Amino acid sequence: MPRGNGKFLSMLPVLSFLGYLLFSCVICAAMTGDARLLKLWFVSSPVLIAAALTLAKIAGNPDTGA
Amino acid sequence: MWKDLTAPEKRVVGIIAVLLGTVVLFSTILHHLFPRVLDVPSIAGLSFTSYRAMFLLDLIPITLGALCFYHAYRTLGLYKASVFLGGSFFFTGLMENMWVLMGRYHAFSWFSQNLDSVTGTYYFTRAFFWWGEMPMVICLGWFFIAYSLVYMVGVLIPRSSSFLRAALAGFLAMSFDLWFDPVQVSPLWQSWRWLSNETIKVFSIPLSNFAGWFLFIFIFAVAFDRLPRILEKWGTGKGTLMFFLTLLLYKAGMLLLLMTYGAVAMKYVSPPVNFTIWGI
Repeated sequence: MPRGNGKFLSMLPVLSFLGYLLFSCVICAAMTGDARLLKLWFVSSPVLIAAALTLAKIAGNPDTGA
Repeated sequence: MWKDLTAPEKRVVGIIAVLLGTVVLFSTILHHLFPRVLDVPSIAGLSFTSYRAMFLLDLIPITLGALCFYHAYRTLGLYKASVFLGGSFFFTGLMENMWVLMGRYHAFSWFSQNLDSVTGTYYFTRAFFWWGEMPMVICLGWFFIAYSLVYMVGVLIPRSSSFLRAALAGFLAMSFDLWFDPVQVSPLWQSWRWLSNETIKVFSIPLSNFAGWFLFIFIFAVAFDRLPRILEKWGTGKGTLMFFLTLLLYKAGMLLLLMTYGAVAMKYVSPPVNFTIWGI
């Protein structure tokens, strides 16, 4: 089975997810001009924390991921 | 790489690629050129609905989906990456199309008289590429959100049971949608429009939507985790078919569960409840 190496490859799924969150939640909310939608970010804090922890774990040990 | 695949794996990858491409091509033509066939609702007055704008908006999730597919290909191999992609499209695509079309044609009464008064479900408004009556990029979104979250949970708690990992991935997906959905249905975007008069809502969005996010990711993660055992028992060709049939079974179960919830909620929850923050 092919195995990828390196931190970047290991982080790719998390970065893709965060990229989508940045576009579909942050940028789209900002474009509406409705500040309430930006302030609503905290309801997604579990997934933001999980993404941050995953990146930190991979940064500490790249073999953790891919 | 293609040459590393066994003959049955090549056949499966080829079938998935051809089916995905054909359905997207057919649905896209049907949606844009023959909207009357499926009674596509009007999107007059909506922002970003020129073909150019819709194509550019589609490119963002397509790019992110491609990155996740590349990761899946490098770590799981082309066969499993394709099964994950095809399974996501099959599982979520068929389910959401059923919800959209059952709402459009008021097809809930057969299940329970409590659902007679359901005013509809929802429909999607804008996309360049379509998969039935849902945007292709929504299916693709399900693929890379499921893939990313299952991967994240696998990194964070690798030695936990598959059910716990699947449940955590489902919970994280739901927490993402609690922000995602209110933004996407805001007056500027209206990426989809809710027609449902469901009696319990969170941020003015039916509770069943958030339950659906949890169940989609949880069920798919459990099913994909069992793929190696299915393949070991049935071989590649029959095993892949069994995997998709398992998804179909899970999908029927999920539909029954959500409709039972809907029938109970419509009968017993009155007046309707809406949990809001700052009027959202």
